[in-house]
Amino acid sequence: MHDLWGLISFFAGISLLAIGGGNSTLPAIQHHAVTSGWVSREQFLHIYALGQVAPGPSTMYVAGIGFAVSGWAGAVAAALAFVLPSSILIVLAGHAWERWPDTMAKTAVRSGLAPVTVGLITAGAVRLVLALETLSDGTRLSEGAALVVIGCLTAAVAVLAQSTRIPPAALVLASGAIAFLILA
Amino acid sequence: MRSIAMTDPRPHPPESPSLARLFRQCLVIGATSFGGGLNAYVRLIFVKRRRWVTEEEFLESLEVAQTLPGPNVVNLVVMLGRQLHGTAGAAVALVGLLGPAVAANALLVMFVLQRAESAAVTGVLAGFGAAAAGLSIANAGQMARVHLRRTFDILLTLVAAVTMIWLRPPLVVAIVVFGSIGVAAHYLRARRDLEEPTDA
Repeated sequence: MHDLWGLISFFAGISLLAIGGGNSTLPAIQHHAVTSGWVSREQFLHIYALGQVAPGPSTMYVAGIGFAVSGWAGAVAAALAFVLPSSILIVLAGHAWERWPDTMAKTAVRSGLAPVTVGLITAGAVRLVLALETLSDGTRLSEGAALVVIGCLTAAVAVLAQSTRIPPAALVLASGAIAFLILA
Repeated sequence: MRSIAMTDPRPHPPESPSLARLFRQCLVIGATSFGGGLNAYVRLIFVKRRRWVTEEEFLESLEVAQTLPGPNVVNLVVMLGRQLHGTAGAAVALVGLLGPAVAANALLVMFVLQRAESAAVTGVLAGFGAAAAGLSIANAGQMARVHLRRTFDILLTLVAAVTMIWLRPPLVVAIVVFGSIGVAAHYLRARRDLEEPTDA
């Protein structure tokens, strides 16, 4: 029960800080989930990746984190805590924001927060890349060779996701298939 | 600006769905959408196929969804659900969209935790993890190309990123500090540009 409360209070607290979309919370969620002992760095990467192949918004990997902590109750609690505060804000203030004329202040709020959002998303990407080293455990190659394969897959996906229209889930599945053939 | 924008909840096209229909449709979207392009998928269903909202209403909702905090597509569906059926509409749209995602994520994690020792699962997950890191790099790259035009914005992005990677302050502190700097700088620049229109 303590863990369930921990999930709810953390994700509810971070909900209104998801500026520019759900992904800006990635570095903060990764840091908290690992340092509070909910999941290991390797498990976090796995759960985040599974969120990319699951249907629906990819930020719902938070339900996967919740499941790892407290089973089904944890999955539902984490997901609801993560989206309810922001959804309530939308219901209460969405139309007020829509009707607020495009003044200089409104434009400044939008454009001035954008670099912070990009910075947070960049930090999340770096955190995931730094955690890649945990993935070589248990593969049939040596640690160095496995990391080369993993690094190549990461780079290939980073390039293909930006330069082609292949769906992200397809890239993740293909990367999993290649890794299975080489590493398992 | 539309003249009927002040009535609330707003009038909507005659093809307004029942609450149950709205819920089922959001459930279908939640179960059949796979990362990326979710907003376009919602537009296809709500505007083109079902004609529940107009293109203009959709774009207004999208703008709000992308500006206020929270996952964009979640905010978008809540905005549209509210427009069609008030708070109850927002609630069923939210639960419909997220239900399949919550169940799928929980089931996948359950499966993986049960088979963590299997070499096959370890191999596949290494590939999944590598791809997830690649996707997040691509996401950062795409966001940077869309939003970063000026040297100041690039510097602010880098300072925010480095701070979050190594100093790890609470997220609220980072957003208040860097957000204030960003918003203040953009506001002052806009005002200066207004006063000195010759300044290119």
